[in-house]
Amino acid sequence: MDALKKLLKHDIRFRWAFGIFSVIALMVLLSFFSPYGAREWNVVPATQPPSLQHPFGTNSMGQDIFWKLTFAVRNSMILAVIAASVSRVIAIIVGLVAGYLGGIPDRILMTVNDSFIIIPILPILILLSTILSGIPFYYLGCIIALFGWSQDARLIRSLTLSLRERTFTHTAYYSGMGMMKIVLREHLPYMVPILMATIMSNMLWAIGMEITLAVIGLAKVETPTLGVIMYWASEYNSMLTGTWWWLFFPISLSVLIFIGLYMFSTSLNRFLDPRTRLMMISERKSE
Amino acid sequence: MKQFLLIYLAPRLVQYVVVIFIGVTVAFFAPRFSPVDPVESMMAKVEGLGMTMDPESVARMKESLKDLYGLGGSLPEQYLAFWKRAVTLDFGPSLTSFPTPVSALVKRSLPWTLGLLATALGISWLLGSFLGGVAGYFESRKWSKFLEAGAMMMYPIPYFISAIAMQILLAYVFPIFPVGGAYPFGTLPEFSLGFVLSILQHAILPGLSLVLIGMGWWFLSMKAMISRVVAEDYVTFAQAGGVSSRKILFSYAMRNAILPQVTSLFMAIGSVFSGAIITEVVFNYPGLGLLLRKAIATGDYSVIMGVIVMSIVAIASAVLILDLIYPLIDPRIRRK
Amino acid sequence: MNVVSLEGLKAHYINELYGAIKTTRAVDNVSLDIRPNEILGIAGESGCGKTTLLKILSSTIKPPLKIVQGKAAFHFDGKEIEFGDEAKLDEHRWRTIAYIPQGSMHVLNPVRKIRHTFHDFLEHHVDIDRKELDRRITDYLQQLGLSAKVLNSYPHELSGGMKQRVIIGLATYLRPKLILCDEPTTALDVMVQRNIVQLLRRIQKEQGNTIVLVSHDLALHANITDRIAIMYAGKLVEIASTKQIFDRPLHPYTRLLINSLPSLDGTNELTGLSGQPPVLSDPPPGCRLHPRCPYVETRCRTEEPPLRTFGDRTAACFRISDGGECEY
Repeated sequence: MDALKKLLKHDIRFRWAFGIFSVIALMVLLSFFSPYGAREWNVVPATQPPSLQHPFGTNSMGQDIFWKLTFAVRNSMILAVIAASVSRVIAIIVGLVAGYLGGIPDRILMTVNDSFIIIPILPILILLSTILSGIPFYYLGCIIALFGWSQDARLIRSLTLSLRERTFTHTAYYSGMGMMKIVLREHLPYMVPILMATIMSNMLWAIGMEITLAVIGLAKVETPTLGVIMYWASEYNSMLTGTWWWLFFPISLSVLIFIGLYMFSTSLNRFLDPRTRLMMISERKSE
Repeated sequence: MKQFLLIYLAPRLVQYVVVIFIGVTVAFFAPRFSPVDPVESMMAKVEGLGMTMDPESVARMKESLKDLYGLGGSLPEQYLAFWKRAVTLDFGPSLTSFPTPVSALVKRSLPWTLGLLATALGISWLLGSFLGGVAGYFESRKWSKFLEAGAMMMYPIPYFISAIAMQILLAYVFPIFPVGGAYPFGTLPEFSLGFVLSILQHAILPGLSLVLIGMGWWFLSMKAMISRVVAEDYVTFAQAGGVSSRKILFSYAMRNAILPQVTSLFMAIGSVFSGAIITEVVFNYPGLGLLLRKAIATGDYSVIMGVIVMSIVAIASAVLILDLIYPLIDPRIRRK
Repeated sequence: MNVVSLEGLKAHYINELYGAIKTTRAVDNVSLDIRPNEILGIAGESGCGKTTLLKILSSTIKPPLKIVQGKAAFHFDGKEIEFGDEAKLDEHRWRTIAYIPQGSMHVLNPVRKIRHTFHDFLEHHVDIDRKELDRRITDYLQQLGLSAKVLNSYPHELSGGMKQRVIIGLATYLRPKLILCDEPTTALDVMVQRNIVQLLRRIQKEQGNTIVLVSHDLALHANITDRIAIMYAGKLVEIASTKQIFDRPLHPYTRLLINSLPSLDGTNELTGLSGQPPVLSDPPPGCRLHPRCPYVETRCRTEEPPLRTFGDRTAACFRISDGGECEY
């Protein structure tokens, strides 16, 4: 709580991120009170520009874009959280195993890891989504996760390598603590804050992926997500027909989410930077 | 020299083989792990397009689809057969543009993607790294902070969003550039100044949307790198020695910070390729992305497989070639 | 005329983090004159501010380090140049003031040949064509015991000792008046250390420069310096000739430092200093040594001892009589 106060007071980026995040949270909350169902058609007059009654306008399918977006934000955020958590699990396992075993297993794992960085992911995701055509967004989150762990596995491996050489590791090891236990009890807590920052950037990547796949028509087009809304807008040629609000609001909202998540992750990163932390510790000591 | 081959070259060749191996294997197994029967799902798609077929041709099509998926024979046999196709880059004829072979379709689209990708990647890397380097060196200046804020706004935006925003802004709202395509609709490619200019004009928007996003990232990573390098002893030493600040900026700070930047360029080719594909879809640009998009819409499985495997091979090769050039700019690797 | 004069110099590292300001008083109220043609040693434990003092002397002050108070000036050719006068200082950088950093691995640009590094450092000061310059540099490096091949090498191809010779060559080629050395021999093995020290002394004899040498290694000071300034927790506690310091240290801290050194015959009893040096962002009140000083008195805990002069030497301790005798 103290950290939150500090960040809010002295970090502009965090203030922005916090503001944007509050908007997102509000929209997710509002989705539960939506007067229209997530999948209902023709419930409002079609193709109306923004007005007091429909602040973001309505689309050609007779849906209110604002309320539609509340569902979309909720679903996209759920997808992002699923993708980020699943990929974190994979990254932690790969990173820890490579870092602790070292030697040949490490080399093999890292070669595989780097291959996943080099391979263009989008075509493969497209292939998968084509075959599974129209899968629900939470499955899509899991599939995206399968390809989104490699960067962070590398990060965790290098963290592990440095933690493994610390004195306290040796002390614990020679006093008879099992390596498994040391990893879970002593090392994982060190990594959790750093993982937090990577979760944010992974979430924004996953949302972007979903939008991309949905727009090509590979998502389940009945369930609203940010991508699905844009898909329908482009299916109805909203730019050519002049219904600009149909694309403008979802795009602005996603841009806002991306920037918010990114600022969150950078300001967290700065807050958790070992050098910054060191300064805060020595400052506490002198207080 | 022998040591150089062993320490530097060998792991990179291994990496090259592994990338292709993993890519092809994933492409092979993906359809097999799916709960949906790919043949049935493709058939449904083809029928959904409104084609009416007699039962005999349905059966024939099912057979040929099975053959394409490599679903005939045992799993190891299928896998080997798939590899044979991947190695010879022969994915049979396209289903929708029968009997044009897939490789011919890819060959036709590849230059557009390569041109767009290489130019955009080159420009964004050079410009982003340069600006990031200068901004990192003059960290406390106003313009440096301003540029950083801009980069932070650009970098997290996905390629699709930037492409569609560019299109809306500069093709619909302010119709400065063409909405899509690679050259005016209805014209035939020819070697004339006018045609080349119109190709450039059509390439600007897709290129710009790729460049802006890419620049954000290269700027931020170079700036972070520079602030680390500036704290290095050799920079402090040169400053105490009165070496001109232009020289310190370029020959000391930037020259050292560019090395990791080059390595991350290699690693980024894959994801920028993904960006190029989606940008092509938005702008109707006749590259691999559009080919893929059309293949998905028509269920042309052989084209999808062909594009995926060939793009993996192409990108792995590009990374390998760049890796081989890298020792030229890092003397430490050259002499080891 | 003194080459450098410092008067009540205060330089602090000022860091701001999430609203909290942290001030590290690395150099606190230091007054010091550096005389021509002398080798002045600055000694003390790590973290006592000696490297910061050298940073100030070499005019490579970067934020968060800031000079907050005091007067500091160079005197070259009868002209006074105040610290911070960047335009005037730039003229003198390397031609008059040279700097030899810690003998670490990263002082030379790793992707630049030694030849080009030499060109970078000398191009404003010599007005001859590159070929002739290269010939002269080769000659000079040979005098320092380096082969001509070095010029075309990258730093990673040289050993630590060779690199340090290259750096000394870079620093002394223009025969500067003032050479600032920061731990020039750490990270080198003992035999190489000896060679480097001899080289520095030889150069000083030939060129008549003033050398300021910062090191925690008292043996090195005994070997090479004329005068030693002892620093503790950002303050100067004693300044005297090398002979005086080793024969008859006045300040308890100096005495403790010397007693922690083994003598050649190994007969003396070694006593170390207990405890840790204070955190410079929060130094103790009174005399900064008092928590660790075995001779501490009541007023040491509250009052700060001023630097007093005893004949030709100075020290800051209450327990020295006006006649310059230790009263402990």
